Amino acid sequence: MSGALDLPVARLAARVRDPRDPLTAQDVLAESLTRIRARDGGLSAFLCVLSDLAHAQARRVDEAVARGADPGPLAGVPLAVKDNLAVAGAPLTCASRILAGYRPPQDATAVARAVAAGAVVVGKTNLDEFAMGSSTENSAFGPTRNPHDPTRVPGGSSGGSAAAVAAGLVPLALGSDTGGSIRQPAALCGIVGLLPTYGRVSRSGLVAFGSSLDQVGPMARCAEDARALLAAIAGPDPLDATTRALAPVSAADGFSPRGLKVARVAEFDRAAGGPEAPAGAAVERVLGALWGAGAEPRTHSLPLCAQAIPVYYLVAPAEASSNLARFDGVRYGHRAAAAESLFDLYAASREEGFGAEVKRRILIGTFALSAGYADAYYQRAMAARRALRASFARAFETADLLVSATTPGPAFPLGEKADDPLAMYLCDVLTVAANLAGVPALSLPAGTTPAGRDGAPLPLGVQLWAAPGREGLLLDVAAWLERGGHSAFTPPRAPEGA
Amino acid sequence: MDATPEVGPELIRHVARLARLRLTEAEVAALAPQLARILGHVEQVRTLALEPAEAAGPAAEGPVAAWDDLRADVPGPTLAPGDLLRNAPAHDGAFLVVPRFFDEDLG
Repeated sequence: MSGALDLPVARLAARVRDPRDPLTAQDVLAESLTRIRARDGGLSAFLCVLSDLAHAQARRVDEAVARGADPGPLAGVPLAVKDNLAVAGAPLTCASRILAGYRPPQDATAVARAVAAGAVVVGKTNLDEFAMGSSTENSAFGPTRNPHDPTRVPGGSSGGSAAAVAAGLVPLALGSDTGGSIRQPAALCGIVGLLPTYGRVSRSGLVAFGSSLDQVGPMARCAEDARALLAAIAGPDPLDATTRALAPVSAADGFSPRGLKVARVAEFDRAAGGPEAPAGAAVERVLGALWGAGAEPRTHSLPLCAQAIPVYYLVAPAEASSNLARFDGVRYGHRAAAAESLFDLYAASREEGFGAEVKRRILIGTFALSAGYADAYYQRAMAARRALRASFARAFETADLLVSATTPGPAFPLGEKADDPLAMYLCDVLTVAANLAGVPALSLPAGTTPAGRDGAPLPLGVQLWAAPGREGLLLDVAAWLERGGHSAFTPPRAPEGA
Repeated sequence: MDATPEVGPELIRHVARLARLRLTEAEVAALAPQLARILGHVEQVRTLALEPAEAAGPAAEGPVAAWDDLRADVPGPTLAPGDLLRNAPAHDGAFLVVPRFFDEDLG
């Protein structure tokens, strides 16, 4: 059943902002909470629903409208927040036992800015523990399920946010992306997800995983909705020294891809299985649409992208091992009982609090930074990273846009890769290079697998890459593809009784 | 360049100690083949042919090469100690409480 929640975000906010329109932020919130109650039992997208906070925020929006003030461009729009971002006073778990009981004293900047623009935070969404994973199965609170097929994963690590948007529980969600954690679940759930340029969005209040890689970004049903959220959260922040003023993300008037230099990348084509494979075929359809409309075709080769996984799985765990040192049972979260020495307190609290994947990555990262191995592993990976960045800079001298698949295939069955960490890491083969290079990339829905022996058709994602600061172009191209019918959000079939 | 290490229980225990992470023997046994396989894969970075000019740079450099627009170093509002202590598992109202460690070898 469609309702106000299914309106485009700008239209929904315009109705809430219009004092003559009877629709209120509190009505919209009630619709969102009703859907969460009806549908989230079978998905587990949310770790907690913040009804009291959301009612207070929605009331403030309605009061602003009533007194003639403008509550902002996201007025009354329900927003889900990945549970590695702080909402003041609400539990912040990172889907880990080690943060049991922790309630941060202040909002993440991205959350505060979205709320200042009128958004209403309805709850915190599930993730792989500390955002380490590609399926949302590494959560201490159980996996999230894919709304298109509940026997399959939603992708990860922002799987709860992706599932919440895809299932129509909220129009907008915040995710974080260290190696693909926004784009990969967006692709597997059939929505839009954007990794902004490194430095576009403040990470203040985001629990750090890989500080030179982490970005906060929007997840939405369409490009314009994602743009609205990005515009609200972007911009320099005194609390995050890596943030910079970048080109505005506003829409270009009368955008057309004519004359745009659009390149395929040989290494990405190979990773997607070529044009015969479902992911590769989706890339061909998008390239065909852009080139058919007058974009100039290019073919690029970025050989280091074929090595991006080994580089990423040294750099990211190295940074994680350092960032996660703060979880030691002393300042917050879980503390082991009856530790007799400080060392035992640290080691036992961490043993009891962290899950298996987090321990693996801490060990890989600690090894890569340890005496005797740091030069051969971490420093070598950083040299490769610098070379990879240089190769992207060269590529964007002769191309405006790169096009690839987002993932090698559609959503896989729950448990399929659970016992094979390396197979799970290889899910990120098409996404990690953007984080290593610091460039923006957007995943958009680009059709489905053929319906057949595997059951329901599953969403496929295509990824658009641009030079730093060009998120506006990515969103313009995605919106143009939507207008032409080449990309569309398709709601999952409603589960029985919903 | 260092030799490729043998990823066995001894290396896992050494790294776990560096990481302040206690592991059960069952965890060590399960992790050894997993980490051997993962490190075997990431080994590739050691043999990559890189253009020296492109690979050179400060070790810790991330995607932001440099920025010189640091904010002024002036005092601003901070969180109240009470807000921070509220999340601590053990405190005495003013300080965090930890086991006695003056005689401890933390190396």
